[in-house]
Amino acid sequence: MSQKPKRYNPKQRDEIFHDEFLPHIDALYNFAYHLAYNEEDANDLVQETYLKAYRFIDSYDAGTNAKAWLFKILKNAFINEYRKKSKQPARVDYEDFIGYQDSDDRSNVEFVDLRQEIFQGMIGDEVTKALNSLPVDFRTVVLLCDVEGFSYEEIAKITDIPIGTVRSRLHRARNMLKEQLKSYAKTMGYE
Amino acid sequence: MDHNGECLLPKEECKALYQRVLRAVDGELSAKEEQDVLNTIKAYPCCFNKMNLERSYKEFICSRIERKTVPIALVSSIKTKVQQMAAQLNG
Repeated sequence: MSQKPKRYNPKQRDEIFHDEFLPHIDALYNFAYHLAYNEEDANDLVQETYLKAYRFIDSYDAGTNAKAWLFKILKNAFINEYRKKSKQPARVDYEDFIGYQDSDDRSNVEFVDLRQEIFQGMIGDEVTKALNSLPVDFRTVVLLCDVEGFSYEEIAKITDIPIGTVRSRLHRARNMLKEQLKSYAKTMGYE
Repeated sequence: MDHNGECLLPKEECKALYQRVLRAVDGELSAKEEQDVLNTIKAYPCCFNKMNLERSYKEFICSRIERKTVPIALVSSIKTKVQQMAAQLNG
């Protein structure tokens, strides 16, 4: 089988790696940490992402959306490697999720005002714990949208789900997170 | 949207507006579309309040989420391994 011709020369590959890939290492590390909730696994995930990105650099269009491309690689690496490792991987209750999507009556959705004093007293670690209590598919969309600022379209590409599903999953995830924060505030005696 | 009777809009319109509110908060609307949403919700204090709640949620999460600093050793390790890979590819 003939090998594909190299798209970039060594100098170009080096430039792409340093100028387009490396600037996103902090964001990738944070994403990896919140997915794996473990620094050692986050290190492995980020390293694997950069090595894969460099190995397959010829499939990347220079000057385009390197951040989204790298996030997709990292997300896939997490799914492939770390979910397999887990004896009891975080599972999404898809029945519940589908039921929610199809439901036309959302009148029971309660709005939580995070400007209230009880929430303002929370520290970052408590918010992180609440986020990490969400099933990984829901946690992922919150991280991508609310923490990293990706657009719905970018999230759809990174996670391989339709935009409509991104919207509904995000909506569901935010409500779950608000509920978690509310419960956590109660258990910590904020109320 | 929490259609608890406070909203002056019919239920279906309220829900449709809420979808647009969420997209506005997430920066998914054009400037004109966002202005249309803002003009519309001015007349409905309940919807306006909910837009503020959604905005405050995003600000809260963004400001409170724990951010880890990437270890310098990891950056060095990645650079070294990429250099080795580059040498192999170029060799």
